[in-house]
Amino acid sequence: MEDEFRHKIIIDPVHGDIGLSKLETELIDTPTFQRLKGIKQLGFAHTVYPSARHTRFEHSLGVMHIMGRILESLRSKDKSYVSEDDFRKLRIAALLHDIGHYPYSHLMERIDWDSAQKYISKKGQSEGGETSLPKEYPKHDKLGEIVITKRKDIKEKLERNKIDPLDIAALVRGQHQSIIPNLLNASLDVDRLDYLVRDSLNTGLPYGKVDLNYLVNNLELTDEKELVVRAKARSSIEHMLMGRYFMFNTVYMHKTVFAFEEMIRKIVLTLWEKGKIYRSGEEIEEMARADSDDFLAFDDGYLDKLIDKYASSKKDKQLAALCKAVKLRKPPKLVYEISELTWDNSPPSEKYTILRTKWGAKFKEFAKDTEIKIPEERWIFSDIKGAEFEKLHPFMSLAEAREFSESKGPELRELVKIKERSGKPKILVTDKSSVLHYMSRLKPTLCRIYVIGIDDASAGRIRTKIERWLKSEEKI
Amino acid sequence: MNKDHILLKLVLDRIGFENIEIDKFDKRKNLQKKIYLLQLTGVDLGYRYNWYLKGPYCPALANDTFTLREEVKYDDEFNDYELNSKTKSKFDTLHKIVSLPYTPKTSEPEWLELLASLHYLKHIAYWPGKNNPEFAEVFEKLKESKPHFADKMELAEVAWERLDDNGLVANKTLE
Repeated sequence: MEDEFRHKIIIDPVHGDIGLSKLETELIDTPTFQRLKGIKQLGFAHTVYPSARHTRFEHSLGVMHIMGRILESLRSKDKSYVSEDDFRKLRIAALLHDIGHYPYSHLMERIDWDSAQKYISKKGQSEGGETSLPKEYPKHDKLGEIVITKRKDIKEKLERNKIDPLDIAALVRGQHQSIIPNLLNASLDVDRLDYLVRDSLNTGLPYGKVDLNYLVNNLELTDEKELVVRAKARSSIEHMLMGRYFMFNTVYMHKTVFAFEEMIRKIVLTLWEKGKIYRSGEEIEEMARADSDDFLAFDDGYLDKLIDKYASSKKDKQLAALCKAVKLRKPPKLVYEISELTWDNSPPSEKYTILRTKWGAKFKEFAKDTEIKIPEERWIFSDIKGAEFEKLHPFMSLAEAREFSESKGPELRELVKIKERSGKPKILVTDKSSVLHYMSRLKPTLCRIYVIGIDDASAGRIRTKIERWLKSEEKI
Repeated sequence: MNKDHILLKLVLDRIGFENIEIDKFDKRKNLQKKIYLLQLTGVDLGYRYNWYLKGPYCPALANDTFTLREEVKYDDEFNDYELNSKTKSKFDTLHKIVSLPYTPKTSEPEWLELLASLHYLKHIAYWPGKNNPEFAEVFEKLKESKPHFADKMELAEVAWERLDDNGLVANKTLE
């Protein structure tokens, strides 16, 4: 079986040699897979970390490689853990897990559709006619399912090798009933193990470096085929979870990266409102399904070209200003930020609460203020759920999690489990001797206000005004 | 409060979670399953469920409900809104689906779990060779992943019939 995955070797800066089977090589060579070379893994992170231009392509290879290594490690302990057939399928699912990604990864997928308006109305106002909103863009994993099961170049290659595309799509979406373990959607999964190390290498930041070899060699499956880490590798897994937290704060939620991404979201929404990009989810699905080149061109370049085009638009000055700011790397200025860690679900600070509840009305006054005078559309308010150390179910206490039972499986699904020396599995965050036990009780909140197209002096003036306003409100 | 959270709050009010008291596991389970079934009637709140060993489950719903519970402590904007009449009518359908059968005896968490699981296995889950499965095949799959239903075939048949009566065996959703 080993030789099967040495049909071709690709050299990767993170993992070294990555061996491929004949089918994997053929899948990688399809135009649909090659499209991933045009989608940057970290969206706009390169505006802050210039080398962070790595793509979903190499990440997908890395995820497949780690999947293979973990499965090999499991099979070396007990061959019945994973059959040879499942081994092949799980590697392919890992290879194709990002095949449905949108330009700039998650940016385009999350248009603010305001779809709730279909179902609610303001009291005292007539309901009016039925609001007909187009179908939302499908999430990338749904789009991936369409690509895997319908798009000719991928589908045919799988079928010719007697692999049912539905099998692979179900594995990618976490809907498969018989092939487990869940190695694609959990706290400890192959996706995370690759992106932390790869993002760390390409940004130049050390936080995401994971003790990959030791972790991989110390994984086992429970009787229920849940992945557990041997107790002796506990420090490695704790380090990985903490590394993720720091990578989140320094890269994924970096103030400038986030600012650009907010601006892109505004651009995408404006283009959508003007009918300059795909209008509905049906159109996107059809494009992915059809054997045409449109989907192949649906990568970062698709948005880059639109931004280029509208940066010089004379008709829409607002859109032109946004596009120009992206092109010339002029991020919105951060004028105010509240970043907090609260303990055991204690309430956030008064300042945060005031900002959350009153900003919607207050910023309109600021926008009109004669000393500021900045139109409303140039303000960005972001209330961001920060990175947590571990995904403990929000309503579940640690004491409850400690009573680990099968029925609670879904709520504990994403948590890392340790195999104690006694052989019993235990949820890491419930172990008082783990630093994660304490860290997991910290809930981060992050609130930011940005303004587009201002200089440092204006940002300073606005900051002072916001601080004064918050102080006056706190006294009330 | 964003519109999605306003909608979620108005929906929770209608399905018995006015105070968002879901600290008990069974209540959280009921909430998960009721929202799953409500979405089938055509009120799409955007929650997508995965099957994880023991049934359909949506972590995003758990997170949003938690955020909402904190939010309503200081933001009552949801009071300015109401569900429109078309949406309200969907709750009649939901009621028809979820109301407990006279026999066999069951509890709300068990009944909701059964309805949601049978639907999920019929329409969403995947296994090799699956091809528009009928009750017998779906029940076999259910027993594999939920052995505690192995001796509940009669109840499962009633649940299947309930789904069928409401068009949810022939169709994945009602819209």
